[in-house]
Amino acid sequence: VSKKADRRVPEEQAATVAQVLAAIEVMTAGDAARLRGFAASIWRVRGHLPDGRDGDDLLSAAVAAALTGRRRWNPSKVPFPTFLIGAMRSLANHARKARATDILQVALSESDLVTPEDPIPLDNMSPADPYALGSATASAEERLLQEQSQREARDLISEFEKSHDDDWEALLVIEAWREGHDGPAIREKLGLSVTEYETIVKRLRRKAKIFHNSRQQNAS
Amino acid sequence: MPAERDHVEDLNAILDALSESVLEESDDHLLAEVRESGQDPNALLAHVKGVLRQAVKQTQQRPLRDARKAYEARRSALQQNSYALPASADERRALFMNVVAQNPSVGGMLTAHFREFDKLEDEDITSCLRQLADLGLLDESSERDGGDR
Repeated sequence: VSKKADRRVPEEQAATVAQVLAAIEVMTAGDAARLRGFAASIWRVRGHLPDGRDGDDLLSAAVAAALTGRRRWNPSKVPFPTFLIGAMRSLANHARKARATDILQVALSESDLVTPEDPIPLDNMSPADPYALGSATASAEERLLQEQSQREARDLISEFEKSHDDDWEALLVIEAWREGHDGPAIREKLGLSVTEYETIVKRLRRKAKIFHNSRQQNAS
Repeated sequence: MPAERDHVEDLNAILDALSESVLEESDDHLLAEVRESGQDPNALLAHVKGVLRQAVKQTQQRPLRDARKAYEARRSALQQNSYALPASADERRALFMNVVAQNPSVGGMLTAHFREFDKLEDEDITSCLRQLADLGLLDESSERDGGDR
């Protein structure tokens, strides 16, 4: 029995449809703001990469994953919003790896979205999964796609950074994120207090939303 | 020479950091941000609940939708097959009765389904003939009669 199977929520402990519906009803405005904010941030502002309208499709896919058993929710152990965040994180990561654009298909694909604790529980994609990546040796077509993704990602980052031209603190935080640093490391590196760092991140979130809306308007 | 940057990874790191930062915020701060962006928190709550309820409904209806899709595909495949069915309703009825007479087992099945053949509408007969053709029974019937279909 694999470690992955051991960590799976037993079927008898998985939430029923009625429990999912009940959990939706008791959700607070704070939960909604957090879920929507998370979904929109992780899933938007993409070019050729997995795209989403505004995160709603990612939220829906997380629910589909729960109800179809692709990723089970244990209501006695994990609050529903926490479960949804974990499922969305997994789905987004999986979609990135597989370069899938249909997040619902990712939720319903062969691979199990198994562990609430694991930030990337989909590393072991089934070869039968049509959304899995191909072999380690990239074909010419695969290389072209990779190059296109690289160009699009580079342009997006460049545009996003340009929208912060007047905010050097934000640019430093973006650079630190790109280097893989987390909040505490960035605060220490840049000598920022918790409040100062949070204020910069808030500005970044606000600008990211404006940036996304403006790109959508330009695209339509 | 410095290693080439992986821009996709960089973009993912930025998006992850932005999304994870939402999780660290208090409800009050998040709701204040919602208001600052001109949204009503209660409207946002209603929207999110609506998205989730709709997702539950669509997931529950998925087997039904899949079955319908499969049915439509089968029906479309049946309709796309070309059959040289007789031109008139009377001739179709005659062919149908002939096939049934030559295939008692089929006749038995159809009797259970339709009860009385003489009350069948032409539409039902045409549909039955198409299905019988798919089963190859019209060819057999024609061969036994020594005729062409």
